[in-house]
Amino acid sequence: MKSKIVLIFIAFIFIYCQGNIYAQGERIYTTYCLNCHGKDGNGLKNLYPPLNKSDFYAANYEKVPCIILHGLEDEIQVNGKNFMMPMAGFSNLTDVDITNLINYINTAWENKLPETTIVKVKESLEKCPE
Amino acid sequence: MNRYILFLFILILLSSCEDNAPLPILGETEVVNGLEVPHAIRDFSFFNQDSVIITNENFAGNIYVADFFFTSCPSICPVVTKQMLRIYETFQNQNVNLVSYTMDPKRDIPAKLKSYAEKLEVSAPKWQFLTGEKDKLHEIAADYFSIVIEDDEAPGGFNHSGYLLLVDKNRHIRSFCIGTDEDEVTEFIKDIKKLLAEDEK
Repeated sequence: MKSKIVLIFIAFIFIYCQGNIYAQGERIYTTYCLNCHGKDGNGLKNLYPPLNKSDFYAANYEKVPCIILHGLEDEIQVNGKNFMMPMAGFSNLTDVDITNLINYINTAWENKLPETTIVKVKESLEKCPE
Repeated sequence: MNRYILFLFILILLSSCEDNAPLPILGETEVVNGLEVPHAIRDFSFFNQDSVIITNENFAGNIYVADFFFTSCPSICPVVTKQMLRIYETFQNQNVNLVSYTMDPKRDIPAKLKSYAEKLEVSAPKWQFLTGEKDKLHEIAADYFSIVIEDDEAPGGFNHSGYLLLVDKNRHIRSFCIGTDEDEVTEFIKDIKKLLAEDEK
């Protein structure tokens, strides 16, 4: 009987957590990214690029951890439009934060990008240009 | 039942009263030579994104919405700018202008403001981005109840309030809202419409 209750309890937690699977990533997004990239991930005109259905983001998944940590000064092309607003880096974020953030973005809005892992994020960070 | 109807009637009456009342003139009234002078925006002269000198005369007889920002602002400015853009689009064909004063004239020279405006797909004279002497910009912020403090610790180097301010054709502030709050801006847009209607009377 007792084990049944425990099982139900675990199942309940599991289902409950599934709904907020990247809740921490979402919190980090709200704090550091939302002001420019928007609640809907669509950016703002030609000023701030979208993260939702962004060809640049999908194609540069290996560089994304470095961009989050160190920022970006270069002009980039996203979905056929040029963007040249420098982005500040967030050096206070940990590898775990970055992993959670990327996993949130990868599945947020209309994005259906594969999940990343802390191992992959660490590998990418080791290759960041100086 | 009767009491209920009476209550409803009073409620409708009250809400309609509120709609017809003109927007107040905000700020402290000064007494000069025994006359009461309501708060107004001082004379100014700044450069816009096209390097054209823009003064208070450019807004004579026009209402406008003002805010304070800087192009490299990483914190609240993008959110406020998005709401300014919403106002720009809402009143595209009406006599409402927008003015964004930079707090950071050292970096925000006219060319920088021009590129920012182009990326936003907006242009003067509908939306003026103004720059000039830093002290003059920070001084005029006070007229708009806006606080600008240089602070190396703050994101981007400035601490500021993200207010949007509605200025009438006589340079009086008639309404304001927090530019980061979408719902407040929705109410603010209603005030702009009210002021436009007042001018048409």
